[in-house]
Amino acid sequence: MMTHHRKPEHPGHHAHGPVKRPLLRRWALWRRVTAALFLGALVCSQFEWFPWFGGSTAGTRLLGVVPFVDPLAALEVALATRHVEATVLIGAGILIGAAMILGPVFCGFVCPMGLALDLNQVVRRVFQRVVFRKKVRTAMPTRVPNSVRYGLLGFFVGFAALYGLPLFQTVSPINLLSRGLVFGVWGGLVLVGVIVVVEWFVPRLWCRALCPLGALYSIIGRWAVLRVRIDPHEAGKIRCQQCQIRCPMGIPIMRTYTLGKELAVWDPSCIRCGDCIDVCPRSVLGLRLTRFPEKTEGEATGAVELTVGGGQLNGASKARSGGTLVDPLDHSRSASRAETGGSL
Amino acid sequence: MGGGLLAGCGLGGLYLGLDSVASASSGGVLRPPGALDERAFLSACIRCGQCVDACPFGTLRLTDLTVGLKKVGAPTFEASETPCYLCQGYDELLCIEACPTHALGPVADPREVRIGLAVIDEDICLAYNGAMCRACWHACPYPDEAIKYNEMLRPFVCAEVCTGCGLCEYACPTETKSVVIDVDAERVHGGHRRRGSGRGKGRQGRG
Repeated sequence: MMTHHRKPEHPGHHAHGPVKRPLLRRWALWRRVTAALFLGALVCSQFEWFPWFGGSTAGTRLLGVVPFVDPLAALEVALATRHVEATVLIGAGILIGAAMILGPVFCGFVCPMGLALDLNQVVRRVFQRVVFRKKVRTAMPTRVPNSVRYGLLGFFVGFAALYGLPLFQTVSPINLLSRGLVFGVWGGLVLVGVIVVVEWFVPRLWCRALCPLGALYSIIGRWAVLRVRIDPHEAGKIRCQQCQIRCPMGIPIMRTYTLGKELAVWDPSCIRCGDCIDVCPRSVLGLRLTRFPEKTEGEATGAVELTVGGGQLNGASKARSGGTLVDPLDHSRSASRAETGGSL
Repeated sequence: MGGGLLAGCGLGGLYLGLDSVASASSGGVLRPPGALDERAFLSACIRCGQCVDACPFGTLRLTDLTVGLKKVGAPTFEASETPCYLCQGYDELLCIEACPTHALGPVADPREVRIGLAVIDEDICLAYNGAMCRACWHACPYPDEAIKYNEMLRPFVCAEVCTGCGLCEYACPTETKSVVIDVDAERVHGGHRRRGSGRGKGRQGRG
């Protein structure tokens, strides 16, 4: 009897942070919507009454006219056949051009595998909260060096060049997932399932550490102008680190700002998913078009207005560490973090 | 990337060694019209499935993991389930039009399609065993050209004309199809050849 009246306790409920963006202003919602729409369009294109995106993630055609070809597929086929078709050139060119401007937005906003793993994480978080009464993650995901992804990219590209087979297109979980859902070849979903199960324990392992397509997009989008911007007026007032804890790619988001005074997240592996923006309680971060490397450093101050607080931060952290820059967001240096944070 | 390249060479060699052993025993797989020869086709195909979407008859499907790693995701069809209608009633072969990489090469006329060759098994063919059957002839898109009848009213395949579309195999009424499409059959000019049984043997014969 009593159990009915007992209100469930939510130990972590108030600790989630005071601010939560309204649902319609969350990137997490919109990127899932776009990815789901794309996947839905692929699936519906099976039927004649919906000729929007025939094919799968390796290559599609918008309304049967505008071709899109996966850049990695195009690269592999070009190397495997020693020949480039005009359609491949156009189709890959569109996506490469988009990625050069917008960065690896494909990963965040289009990739069906990204969507599946994203939802996997949602399920996991809810499960942990409800069943284990455990708060959301409080530590940054371990960073896997980018060289692993680039190495895998090199492996598949080299394989195509040497053995004349676009191997990644056959085994890519992205393609296996989209082919499985679109064309009903379910066998490939075994690999997708394995990755989903692994990611329950090691979140976002595939995107963060393994995906060669993401690596290629990272290279293409190295100098993209769409970046996660850091607002110097707001930055550094609180050191909640929520962005870095949530970042699926394990990017230490604020580190480049605190250490290098960069006003945008410059890490090439950033997939523009917007998770950091969603969790930020002070609207420090935003997905904006950013000019080429923008810093708040001495000579660059003409371009960017510095707040007094930002200027103090730069001067203070340099002075305190005596030339060698101390990372105030490093977990191992919690003492120095508290010190720096307090001074602001 | 250098390490990846090295690993690629090693693993690739290992994989190809294993795979060639496996593929020696696997039968030929029917490819869509205009497909390049198997090796070039597998090089050029990005496994996107646009040909499958384009096919108005629902003939094509993508191969699953069961056929060996090389062939995963490439388009194929089973003639006894749904044959290739060579886009009858359409201006062009739609799968070829859809292919972004020209793994399905351009074909000027549906007559030039060479998916394989229909091979009649005279041991079980009804017409060769005393019955009156013209199912394959009726189904054939080029009757009296690709499939002809001799003076005994028994069908034979004209190797120069046969496109390998599989309509005859689809139409064949015998339980074990007495006409099947052989992907690897060598085209012998001037008439039909008798073969014991269908698919798979041709490949071994060629080595």
